[in-house]
Amino acid sequence: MVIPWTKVWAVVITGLVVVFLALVLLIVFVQIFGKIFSGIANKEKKGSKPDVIPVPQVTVPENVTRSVPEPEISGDDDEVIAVISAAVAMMAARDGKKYAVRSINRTENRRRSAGSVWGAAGQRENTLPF
Amino acid sequence: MSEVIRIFLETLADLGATSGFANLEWTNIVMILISFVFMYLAIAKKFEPLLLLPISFGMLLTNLPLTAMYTPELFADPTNIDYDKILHEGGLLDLLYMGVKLQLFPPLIFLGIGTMTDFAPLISNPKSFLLGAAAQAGIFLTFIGAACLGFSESEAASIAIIGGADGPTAIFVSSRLLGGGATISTGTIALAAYTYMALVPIIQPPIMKALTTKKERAVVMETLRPVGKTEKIIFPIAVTVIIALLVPSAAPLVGMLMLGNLLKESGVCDRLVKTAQNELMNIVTIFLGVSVGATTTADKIITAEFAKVIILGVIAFSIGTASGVLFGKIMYKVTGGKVNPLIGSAGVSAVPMAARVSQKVGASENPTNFLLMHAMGPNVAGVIGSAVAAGVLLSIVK
Repeated sequence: MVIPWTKVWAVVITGLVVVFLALVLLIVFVQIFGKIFSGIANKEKKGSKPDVIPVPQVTVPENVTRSVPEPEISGDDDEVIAVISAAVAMMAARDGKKYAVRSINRTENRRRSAGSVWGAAGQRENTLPF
Repeated sequence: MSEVIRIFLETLADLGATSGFANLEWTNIVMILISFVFMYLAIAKKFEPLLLLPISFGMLLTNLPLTAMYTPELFADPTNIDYDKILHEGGLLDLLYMGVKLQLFPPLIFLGIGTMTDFAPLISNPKSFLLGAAAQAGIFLTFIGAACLGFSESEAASIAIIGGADGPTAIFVSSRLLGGGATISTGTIALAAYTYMALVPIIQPPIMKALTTKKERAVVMETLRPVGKTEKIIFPIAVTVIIALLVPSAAPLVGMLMLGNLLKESGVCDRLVKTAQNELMNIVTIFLGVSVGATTTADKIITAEFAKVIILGVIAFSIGTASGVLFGKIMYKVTGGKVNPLIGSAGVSAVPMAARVSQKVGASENPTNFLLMHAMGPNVAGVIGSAVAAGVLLSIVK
C-alpha cells in the first residue's frame, strides 16, 4: 500500500467530520432565520384585516329542470347543487341543448392522499420540471 | 518525365510515411473503438449526452495519431505547468484544457447550475442537510478502497470523489491533483463519473429496497412550508460566507453555485441568468467535455488501473446511496416515522436524477406519494456537501 494507514484514517475522519460540521452549521443558520421569518409572517397575518372575497351572483335559468334526491346530498350541499346546476346551464346555453341534473352523488376517495383529480394534476404540473 | 514521376512517387511515399495510417498502433485502434462505444451510449442510450458526447469525441481526437491536438507532456507536472509554453506550442485541446487545469470551467458550470437550482425544499426542511452530508460517506470510504488497491494519495482522492456523483466536482478535484506521472487521468475519472451518473436509476433502487421495509417506503411526508423571497435571497449569501470561511478551498465551487442562485432569486438579473444557464454553460460544457476527453490517452485507459477505477466508482456510488438511506432510517426512527428513508439516497447529488429515483421507488409502494420535492432537499444539499468534500480533499491531499 502506497498511502500509510494513519494518513488514510486522517483523510476519512477529517473529511466526514468537516462535511457534517459544515452542513450542521448551515442547518442551525437556516433554522434560525426560518424561525425569524415565520415569526414576521405570523405578525403580518395577525395585523392585517381579512380580505373580502366577492361572491359572484349565479342565476339558474328556468328551463333547466332540477331533481336531486334528498338522501344523497343534504344540508349545506344545496350551494354545491346550485353551482353544478349553473355550470350545466352555462354549458346548455353554449351548445343549445337542454340538460337536467337528476342526481349528484359523492364518490368515495379510492386513493389515500390523492384528493381530487385536479389536486393530482396540480401536483404533477408543479413537479414536472424536476 | 521520369524525374517528375520519381518526385511524385517519393512525395506519395513521404505522405504515406507521415500519415496517421502509417503511425496507427493497436492501442490507438482500441481507444478509437472505445470512443465509439461511449458515443453510442451518449447518442443511443442518452447517457448524460451533453457531456459524454464531447468527452467521447475528445477521446477520438486525442487517439488519432499525429494530430498533436493534445500534448500530455505539457501537463506532466501538476505543480509546475509552463503555461507560456502551452500558449506557444500547444494544440487546440491543450489550450482548451488550460481552462480545466486552471480550475476555470467546473466553477463556471456550477454558476449555471446555481441559476437552475431551487433551494426552497432545503430551506423549508433544513434537516435535509444531514442526508446530503451522510451520502458523502461514499467519497471517504472509497478512499480507503483506493488506498488498499495501491493508488497514490492524489489518485485515491480523485477516484473517491466519483462517489460525490457530481461531474464538475470530480473534474475540479482530479484536474488539480493528477499529473502526467499518475496512472489515471481526469478523463478517466470523468468517464466513470458520468457513466455512473447516467446509471443512477439502475444502481440505486435495489440498494434502496434492500435497506428499507415496505412500511418505511410508504411513509407520506408532511407538506413543506412555503419559503419567502427574502429567505431565498439570504440563503446563497449565507452559505457562501459560512462554507468559504470553514473550507476556503471549496469556495470556487460553492461561491459560483451560490452566485448563480442569487442572480436567479434576486429577480433583477434576468439577462445574466439567461446567459449563465444557457450560452455560457453550453460553451463551457463543450470546452470542458472535449478537453477532458482528450486526456483519455491509451496509456491511461488500456490499463488495470482503469478497470479498478470502474469498480471503485460503482462501489463509491453504492456506499453513498446506502449511507444516505441508512441515515434516512435513523431520521425515520428519531422523528417517529415522519421521514421517508428513501429521500436519503438523493443525497448523492446527481441532480435531479437521484431525487427522481426516490420519487419513483416511493411511488412504486404508494402511487399517490409525492416524494420528489422532499427528495430535492437532500439532493441539492448533496451538491453543497460534495463541494465541501472536494475542498476537504484538496486541503488534505496535496
